[in-house]
Order: sequence, then structure tokens, then C-alpha cells
Amino acid sequence: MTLNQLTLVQAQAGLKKKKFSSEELVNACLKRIQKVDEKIKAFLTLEAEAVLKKAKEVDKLLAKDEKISETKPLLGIPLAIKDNFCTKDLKTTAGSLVLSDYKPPYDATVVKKLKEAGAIIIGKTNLDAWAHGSSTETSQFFTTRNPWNVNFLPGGSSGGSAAAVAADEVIGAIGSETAGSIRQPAAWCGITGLKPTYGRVSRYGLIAMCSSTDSPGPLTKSVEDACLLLQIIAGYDLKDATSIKTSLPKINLAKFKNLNGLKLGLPKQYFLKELEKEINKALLSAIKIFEKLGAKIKWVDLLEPKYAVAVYTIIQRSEVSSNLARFDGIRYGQDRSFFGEEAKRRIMLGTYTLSAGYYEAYYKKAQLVRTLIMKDFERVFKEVELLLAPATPSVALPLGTTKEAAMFGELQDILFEASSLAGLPAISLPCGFGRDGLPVGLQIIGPSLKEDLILPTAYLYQQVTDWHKKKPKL
Amino acid sequence: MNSALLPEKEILKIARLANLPLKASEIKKFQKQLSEALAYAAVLQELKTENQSATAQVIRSTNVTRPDEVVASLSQEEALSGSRKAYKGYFKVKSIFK
Repeated sequence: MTLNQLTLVQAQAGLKKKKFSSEELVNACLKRIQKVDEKIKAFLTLEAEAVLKKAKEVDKLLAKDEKISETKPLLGIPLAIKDNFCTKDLKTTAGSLVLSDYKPPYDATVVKKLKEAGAIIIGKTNLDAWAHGSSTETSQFFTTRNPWNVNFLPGGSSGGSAAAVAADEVIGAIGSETAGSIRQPAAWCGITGLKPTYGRVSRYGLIAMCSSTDSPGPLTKSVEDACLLLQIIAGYDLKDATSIKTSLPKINLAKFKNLNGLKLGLPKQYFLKELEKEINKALLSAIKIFEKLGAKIKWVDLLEPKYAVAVYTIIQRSEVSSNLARFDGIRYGQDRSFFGEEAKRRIMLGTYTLSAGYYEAYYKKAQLVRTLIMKDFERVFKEVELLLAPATPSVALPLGTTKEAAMFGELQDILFEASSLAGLPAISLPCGFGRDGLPVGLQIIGPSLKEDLILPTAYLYQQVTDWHKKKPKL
Repeated sequence: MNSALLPEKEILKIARLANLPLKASEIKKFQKQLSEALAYAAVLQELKTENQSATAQVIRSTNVTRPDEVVASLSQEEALSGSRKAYKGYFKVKSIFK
């Protein structure tokens, strides 16, 4: 085993016990990137020299002060950041030519928190342009490949972050989800992806896509790692007007031993008839494991996911048209002729649904149905404590699938959109392999602010399974 | 998907509202794709929403303000650092009046 293969928790423990230095850890990741990223194409920007210098500084700090890791829990650990988070003086493109040379003068709150915790930002990862998509194929730079088979898509929009983690190019990564952009690439790349409650993690400095659902979160090699990163990036932020004041309770996963009595619901409508049969099979095995851990399984009803797809399409396009209006090439970036086709398509639809005469029929109606979706979850969470469902209707699809498929993202994310619209926390975990030997993901959705129930449940599943430990051959 | 095609005139109007330069091929393509997306959204009419209130965002907080205190902000130089068209400490915009 090489150092780049370590989980975040293992890397943290190893650095603390001085089993290796930060320089060695960073070097192992850089070597891996050098070896495989030509194939995987996860990174848009890499900071090789600067990060090695930082790692050496960290090693000096660690030698001088034994207790420094208590206040800086990520000290010396290399992480990758999706390229739609602003990083001070480091190029931030959002995957679009509009921002091809943009160097923000400030850090996103998430980035600031990671830096304060001592993390080393090794580079910025590829994404669908402006996070519009579920494949990285709308990136105006290149398409990232799935480490399990480079002829397949990694998913998206946080596809670069997911692929980098799955290929052991980094110890962990940060992504953002609007409706599936963390959970879907995590599922397709066979890693763990946590989408926190909306407002739990600050959006400040995250290039806005759909402001009412955008949620930053971790993509990691285990639930323990996701839990550790969440506790660092979560928290109220004065700079985000929809930031939540309720603080995240301290979550000590090791104290959870079983799921005795946990009421776990299976939404009938999420076991779609289009579901690939291997996914269905993997889910049935996973359900048995949760049962063995002590959970009480119950089938429940939720609104058909097709309604959420329609609501999300309208609301997301509307917010996109408003958020992307600021890119005028005057204060930063290039002018509006540099937008790619997907961004243009979304701006156009959103401008239409917000325009006089159509607002009531589309945007207003979508907002009303959004209320129904929220109430639907409130009702079901009186019956059960958490929901368990497949993450995606299919495992990773081949490169090129999205060409001329204008609704590709929405239909791939059909099982994520309702929970995103309701702002709920959820996690995606690897639970087997399906067609073409590609990873299958399950998701656990909880009520608002219930990360402290989702994470222990997911953690216990990983304690008795080893899907998350499987590595692609590269 | 069967759907009435949005007229080209409508596409041009939206493009103007969105300040978006479109190629001729994109106008044709968007006519078709926007119409299809709108047709998909028609499923929402199946649901009754008469007595519901609209949800703009789930936090439901309103009028969020910060204390009225002077805090650090970007310097003029930093704020202008990304602009191609800065002039003597200002952003340079197109003239509005001829």
C-alpha cells in the first residue's frame, strides 16, 4: 500500500504518530497524479511546486509543536477542490471558458476553513461547466474518465473530485451538489459522497448555480472521512444569507455499535422499473445487511420522482439565468459569447420561465409543487427515521452519452432531485458492482439537520462491508 | 416528445432578454430543445396546488442582515484585479448614450 491510498483518518493518524511526513504524503499523491491523470483527467489546475513547499513548512511545524494537530486537524493532508470554489490567487474556472483565466481575490468560506484546519490544497478538479450536468462532458476543457473503466463517464458535476478520490490521486476532495452533483459521481466512481442539509455548509465563494439548493460537501474514501470533513466545513457564516445557525453536534462514530430499532424506509417509487437489474440486486443485499445491523425495514410511499424532475428543471434554469447574468466580462472573466452550449440552453429556458406571461405557469407552479415535495418528506419522516434507496438508475454510462441529450442530467439525477429541492441531507455509498464491472451506489436520505443519524448508519454499513475498500486497476 | 415548437421570434426575444449572443444553428436547436423541456414540465399540471404557499428556499429566513459595522473588504486593486478593462481605478463599461 502506498501513502496516497490512505483514507483521511489513516493519513491523519499516520502524520500524528510520525509514521511519515507531510512531504512524503504529498509526494505520493503527486506521483500518482503524474502516473494516472493523463488517463483520468481529473485535474484542471495542479499546484505541484507550491504544495511541496507547503508540505515542508508543515513538517517543520509538526517537528516543533507536538500538539499542533489538535487545533489543525487536517495539517499536512492534501485535498482536491472542485473548480467552482473560489481559491485566492489560484485559477478558478467553474469549467467554463468565461472564467478561463480568473484568479479570485478571496477564498470561499469552505476553502478558508480547510486551510485554517491545515489542509494542503493540491489542485482544482474538473466539473461540468458551471456545474451544469452529470458527466463532466459539458466542461469546456475536457471530459474526466471513470477510474474503473476509462471508456465510461465519472458522473458529475463533481466528476473530477470523485475520480481523483477513486483513483487515489488525493486523500479526499470537496465537491458541491445542487441535485445529485456529489451523490451521483460518488456512486459512479465507487466512493462515499455526502450532501449536507442545505445551509449547513456556507455557499460563500462557491460560484452560484442554483442558489436555493447549492450545497458544498465531501467526496471521500469512507464515511469516517466524510464525517471528519463535514465537521470542519460546516457552520454558520455571516456571508451566506441562507446559512443555518443550528450547529452540527459532535459526531463520534466509534460509539455506534448497531442500528437496533432504527426505522428505515424504502420508497417504492424509487425502485424504478428502469433500474438496472444488478442495481436492484445490490440494493436487496444491502437491505439485508441493514436488517442484520438491527434496522426495521418498511416500504413507504413518496411522490413519483418525475414531478421533482420537472420542478427542478424549472427552478434550476430560472436561478441559473439570474445567477449567470452577472458574467458580463467587465469586472472579471470573458464576455457572454464564451458560454458553452449547455449554459446557454439553461440561461435561455430560465429566462423564458421567469419572463412576463410565463412566470405564473412555470416558475410559480414549480415553487408550489416544491412545497408539496417538502410536505411529502415531512409526512414520510413521521413514519420512518431514514430512507434507503438506489442512488442512480444505471451504473456509469459510456463517454459521449450526453451528446444531444438535453435532459441527460435531470434523468440521471431523478432519484436525487426531490431531496435536494427539500434541502435534505443524504449520503451515497458504494454497495456492489453491476454492468461492465462498474460500481453501484445506494443512498440514505434523512430529515433536515439529521447528518448525525445518517453518518452513523452509513458508518455501520461500512464496518461490515468492504465495497468502499475496493480499488480500480489503473 | 410531441410539443408545439416555440416560434423563432420568441427565441430571439429571450436571447435579447438574456443578453446572449446565439448562432443561427443554436436558435434552431434551442427552439426544439426548449419546447421539449417545457413539455416535460407540463406534468406539474397533474398536481393540485390551490392551497399551497410557494417555496423559494427551504430555510425560510427573511430580511437577513449583518450588524452595521465596518468590516474588512477587498482593496480597490484587488477588486479590479480580474478586469480586462480597468481604467484609472475604475471598471470601464460600454457607453450607453451615443
